[in-house]
Amino acid sequence: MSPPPENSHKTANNSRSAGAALYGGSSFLRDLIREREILIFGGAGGVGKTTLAACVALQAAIEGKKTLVMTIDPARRLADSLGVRELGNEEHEVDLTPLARNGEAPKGKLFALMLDPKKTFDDMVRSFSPSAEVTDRVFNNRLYQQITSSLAGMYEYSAIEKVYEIHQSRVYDLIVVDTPPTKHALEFLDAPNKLVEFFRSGVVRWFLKPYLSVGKIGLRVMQAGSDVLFKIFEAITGFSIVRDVSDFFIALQDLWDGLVFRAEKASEVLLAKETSFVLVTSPHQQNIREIAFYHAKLVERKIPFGGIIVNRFHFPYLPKSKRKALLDQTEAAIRGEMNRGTQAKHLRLLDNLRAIEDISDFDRLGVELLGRKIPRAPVALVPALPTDVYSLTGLQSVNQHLFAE
Amino acid sequence: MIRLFHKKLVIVSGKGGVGKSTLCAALAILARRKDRRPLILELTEFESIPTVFGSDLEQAKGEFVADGIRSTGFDFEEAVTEYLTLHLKVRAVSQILHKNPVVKYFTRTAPGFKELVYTGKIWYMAQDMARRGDRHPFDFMILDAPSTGQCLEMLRVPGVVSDMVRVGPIMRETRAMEAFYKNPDESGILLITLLQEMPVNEVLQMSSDLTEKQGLPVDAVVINQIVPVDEDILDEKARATCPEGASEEAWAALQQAVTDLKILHDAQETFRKRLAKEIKAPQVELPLILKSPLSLKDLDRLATTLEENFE
Repeated sequence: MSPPPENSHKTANNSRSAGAALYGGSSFLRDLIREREILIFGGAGGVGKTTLAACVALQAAIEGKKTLVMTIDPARRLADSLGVRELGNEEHEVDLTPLARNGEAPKGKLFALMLDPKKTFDDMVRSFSPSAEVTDRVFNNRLYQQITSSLAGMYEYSAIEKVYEIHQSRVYDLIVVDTPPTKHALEFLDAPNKLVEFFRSGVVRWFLKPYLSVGKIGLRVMQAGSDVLFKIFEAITGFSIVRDVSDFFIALQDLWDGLVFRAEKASEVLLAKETSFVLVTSPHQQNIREIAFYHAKLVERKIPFGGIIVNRFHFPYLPKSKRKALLDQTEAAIRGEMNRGTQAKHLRLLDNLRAIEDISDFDRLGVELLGRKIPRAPVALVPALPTDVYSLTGLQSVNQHLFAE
Repeated sequence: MIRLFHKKLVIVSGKGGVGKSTLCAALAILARRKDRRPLILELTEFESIPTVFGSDLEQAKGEFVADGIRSTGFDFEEAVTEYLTLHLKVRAVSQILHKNPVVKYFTRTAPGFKELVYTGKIWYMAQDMARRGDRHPFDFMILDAPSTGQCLEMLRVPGVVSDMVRVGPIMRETRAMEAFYKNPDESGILLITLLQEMPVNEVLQMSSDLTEKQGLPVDAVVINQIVPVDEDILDEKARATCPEGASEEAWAALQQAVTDLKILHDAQETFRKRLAKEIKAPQVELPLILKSPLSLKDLDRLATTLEENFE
């Protein structure tokens, strides 16, 4: 169950366990941005993956790497800061001058891209198409758009395909990838395989031949049921479904092998030694259990794992070990106050501090659970901030925690 | 009071991870108190409701997960066979048909079909429940719906289909479905969110799409995991002077905590106001409970909070 030994020589000291790393720094991310070429950020939706991917990419750029951050669905203000308001697969250079004003002149450059899954697939079709005519035939098929957007794992696959393509181009020193929010880790990890499987499935072959080949019984049943079923499909999609799908697959036939080959190649990105997965979670125990499952899947597939960022962690205001004594002493002092009004207010202040410390205790339990679920994993803690982070300087302030020595 | 428990169906949706399943569980507990027999429905084979009620075990579909509360997942393939049977009249034929890999492929990937089966099945369950009256094991359905985007897409489908098919049984059926989901006496929607940017944005978008574009009723916005802030402590004066004999370290911590609480309070207020300004439906607030998993007692507590708002 132990993660691949990568980085262990450097991070062993400060990451023996999540518990040991608690409140201490963990520089595993510093090692990752120096040693790797692709960092993939995984985790459930809503834990802050996008923001943290941007943070890490920014730090790499500051340290001198030519870095690309690939986002999926950033909050609008973060997209503004990165200069990517629209989809489009285009790489924009991020204006880092706001940082120079703070005296932090970046040594490298930062680029950002917002993934457009549809366009990614289009580009792939185009690159494998033997002729412009075939390309046109595929693109003009009325079902093409529907199929590419509804195919299982299409979105996830596009992300992997894009990473592969950009990595091959060797334009960047480091690519930081934010993944689509999925309920199950497997949806992302399995996407390329699913696509290959689909291309090779009987369904596709069926459409490549005239549909007589389903067999006699199948055909009779098809005829009996197809009226209703295809009427429903046609009602929803507006297409004469069987013919359109047949046309689609026949059109795609010429670039079949290329697509399958490509999907297999792209999936190798996940396993490459230049790659590392960074998992992001909240301290909530529910999320910790999910991330432990994700981690187990990475290990099972021998996918390189870099470490875990626990985001929105509530640090204690007073260390647990002496908290009670200090608060009791303070309470006694307040009870000795003469002014009743002030005293009442001070007692309420104290109650509030106690309540807010309950949150820090709760979060600590989550990180301790993480330490038990994934022993020896490098862990970085990012404090819960009362407002969302979106500006470059905001990202930079998060990096003080991510890259704390 | 927000009228909810006279309906046949309540749909709960919001961004992933904001507490949809927890809200469904608390609603079911409250439904029991109102003498309804609730069924929580999840549109997935990987059920999470039994876990919310503290059962880790594989549990048979439609069984009790707590006193008088049933929950069930959704077997899509089975539902498709049922759907086809309903239209083809002969189950054996629909089974053979559905085993056909091509048909299977279509039912899984044809845009809108999955949604049509979901909305159709839920609607059918609600009709069946009404027809069978007291003999039915449940009489109030709570749908632990997919997150905002998918849920919108799903609720849009009956209308789209009934517009496209102009005649025949499918038209009649989808019309009836559309009418059912639009009727506030039969079906309702609760949106749930946290006071954070992304969940709030999604709920705002969903609410305007539901009410303005689709004419579907949103009954309330549930705001989950509110951190209670005692506003009286936020003024500067109260914390300025450290009482004599108090720990200075503790007092510094206390001052920092109040500063942070003030920022949190302001952020919560901003989002609360934005929600109130842009969504007409009333707001209902649930407190942050620091436990994982929540115990039945915690769920009971949430149900009690809901009871102050829903009838």
